[in-house]
Amino acid sequence: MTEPAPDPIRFTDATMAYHRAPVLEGVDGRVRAGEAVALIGPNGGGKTTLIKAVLGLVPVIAGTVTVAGRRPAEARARVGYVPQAASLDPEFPVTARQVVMMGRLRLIGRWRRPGRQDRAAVDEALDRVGLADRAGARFGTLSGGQRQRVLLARALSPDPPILLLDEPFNGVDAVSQDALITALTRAKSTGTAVLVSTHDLAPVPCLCEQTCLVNRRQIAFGPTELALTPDLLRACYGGHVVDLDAGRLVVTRG
Amino acid sequence: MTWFDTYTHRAYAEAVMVGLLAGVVGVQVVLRRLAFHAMATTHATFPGVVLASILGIDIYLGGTAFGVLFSIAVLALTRRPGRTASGAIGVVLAAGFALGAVLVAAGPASDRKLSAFLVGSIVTIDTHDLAVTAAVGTVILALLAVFGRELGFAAFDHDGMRAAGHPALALDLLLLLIVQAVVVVLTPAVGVMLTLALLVAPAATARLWTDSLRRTGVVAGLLGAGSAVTGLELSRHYDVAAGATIALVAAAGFVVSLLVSPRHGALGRLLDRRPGTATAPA
Amino acid sequence: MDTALLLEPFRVPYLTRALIELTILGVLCGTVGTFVALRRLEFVADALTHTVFPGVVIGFALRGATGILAGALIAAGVTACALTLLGRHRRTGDDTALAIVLTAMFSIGVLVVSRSHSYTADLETFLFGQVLYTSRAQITETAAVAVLCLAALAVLGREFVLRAFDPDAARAAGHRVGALDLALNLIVALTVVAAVRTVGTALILALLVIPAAIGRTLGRRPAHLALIGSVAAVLCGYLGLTISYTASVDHDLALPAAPTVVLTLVAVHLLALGACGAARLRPARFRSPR
Repeated sequence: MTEPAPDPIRFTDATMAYHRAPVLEGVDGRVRAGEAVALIGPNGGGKTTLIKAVLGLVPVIAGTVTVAGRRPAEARARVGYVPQAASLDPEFPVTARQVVMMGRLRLIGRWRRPGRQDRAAVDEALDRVGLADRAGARFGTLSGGQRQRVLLARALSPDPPILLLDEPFNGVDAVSQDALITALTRAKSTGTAVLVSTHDLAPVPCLCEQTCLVNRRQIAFGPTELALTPDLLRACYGGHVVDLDAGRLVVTRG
Repeated sequence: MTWFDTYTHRAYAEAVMVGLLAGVVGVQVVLRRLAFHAMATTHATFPGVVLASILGIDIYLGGTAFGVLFSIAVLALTRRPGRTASGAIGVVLAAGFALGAVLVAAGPASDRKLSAFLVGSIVTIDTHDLAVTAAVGTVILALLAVFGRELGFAAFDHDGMRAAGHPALALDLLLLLIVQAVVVVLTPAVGVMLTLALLVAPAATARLWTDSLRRTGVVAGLLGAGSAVTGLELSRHYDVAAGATIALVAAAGFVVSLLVSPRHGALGRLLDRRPGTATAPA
Repeated sequence: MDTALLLEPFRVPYLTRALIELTILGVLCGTVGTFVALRRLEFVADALTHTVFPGVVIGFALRGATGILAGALIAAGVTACALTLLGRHRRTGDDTALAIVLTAMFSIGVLVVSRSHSYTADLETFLFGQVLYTSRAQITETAAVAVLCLAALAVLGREFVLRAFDPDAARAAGHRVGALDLALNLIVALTVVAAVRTVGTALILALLVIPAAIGRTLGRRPAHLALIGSVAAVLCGYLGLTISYTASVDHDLALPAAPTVVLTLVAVHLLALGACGAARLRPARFRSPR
């Protein structure tokens, strides 16, 4: 008899806080291996807080968050994190390949130079996001969508069992969105668990098995077809009227 | 009789080391936007240097002690709600400088003049100063060789580095200590203004010429050493203040690069405005 | 200290003039400093204090004491332009541009001074000012600059606060953010020019930053911050001047006036922090533990 492997990410009635003031309350659910969960809610609703809590960068003051059965801060080696490309300095002197290599820095260690295996892993990660031909380009010269794909490649390069993505589809062109979805789908097929926050609902049904709606507290956490309903979305986005129009979220002031 | 017995030789040796060290460390200062922090560090270590020379203990020791006090004070002031880092830095900078000025005036006639602190006197370097610069410089360059990649990651994407499990706090502290060490070692010898100028101008110039982090470091180090030697040469020729001339040469290098560097200079961008060479959208 | 000592500044004519000058500067710097803090312009202010220096030096070299004001004004204008131009360059960060302009301009001043015979003494006069040599004409000029700056702040103050708090909202409401920034920079530059002869290049930053920090510790609204800052600056100007005078005359301890004023401000800041901390600790005891 062997113990079943712990869930990649598990929330048990978790409350996250900045400076002791609760920002997001009552999150309860799990992200399973090989599955993706979409994280949806208005700005300031707690999406980024939730992701930072999984990274152990924001304290959990009630309930628990476990990552691979451990406390978040102890499990960072198992998590690949993809920040918003727009938050990074486009003038920074690094190439796409060097950005991806940053993802393997912990594996390489301080005293060793990157070896053949590391370079191969970096090339493969860039190939998985369809940017093998842009490896030598400076990060800032790439388009917004391409930068986002480079950051996904960076998270993929050490081959982590868990991926966290903060608004990867924001301001991304269709080609890059397709490439991101393809790479994420492939990662899922090898057992990677994915948690992705997004404003754009279009990629959610085909990519994410589950959806989590948050606005200061959890509104819903369950199978996408049950969670992505007009009623729940309306509850999530407060008094604003939400129309579902061919999968697009339309929020109007009302 | 050694080569270092001549004061001009000592000045050139110090200039090369100072320029190289400040240029290389300056890349981190520029990328992490620590210029104001470096400026404040120079002013806050000032009373320590004065106090040490009044008490007759090693001035590097006094500078280091006040440097540590400075970091604690900035940290403590920043932790209060509503306080900004730049506000805290400004207060500590002004306080440190006033304290130093009062100490200079109230203390016994000391050989360390206020003006020497501000503008330095690279031509009166002694072998002890040279040895300290060389030793600290070697340690710092070695540390940068080991931790450089992680510091680069931190400068590019601090959250990402923390998320990847690197010891962010320790690395940030290491960088601040490196900057502080450079300031403590350079300021008594070459003055506040030259320290700041060499920490910022060569690195900013290097960024205009190359897109690679490693090359930026190399170019900044060479530019720093080159500016220092050129400035020293010019100041001897025209009999003007050495530190100020070096700082002006470093700044002139930046201004010239701003005009002529191929991709980021004004001329380069004029040429770049031809149709069909539009840059990628931000 | 007995009351006779506290009244000393009002009996000795040159101390009275210094006190009047410091009072005007205290109100001016306390108010302008509040906006410096709100907009996080501490480094800009520091840069301006250093870049005015070559103007002072060159003005003095060409026209003597009367040339200082004009030289300082020109240098402040040049700085404002240089900062605006460099700030537009994408690859060079704001603070890096500031540091380069600061060190380069200051070095020009040092170069000019280093050509003179009394290098060190001249340098220190320019750096630390001469509070005790304040002339009537200087008081008039400082008062004129102060009235101009305070009037501009009275008119534009609310826009500055909005721009500091939420630049997007300011833009959306039709305010010209670029013009506002330029206006505030010019006000800071004028303040620096007004203070440079009295407290010197090196200590103006203290007058701009520390009173505002005291205000931030004790007050909530921008108007309160400016009021508290001004009162603190005036009070410390008076106390610092008295302490420095007493120490020099009665105790033979050469405490220079301007740095003593700054250290008095630092002491008051620490007191304010302590008082504020104590006030916050007390109710905490009655709070139920989390």
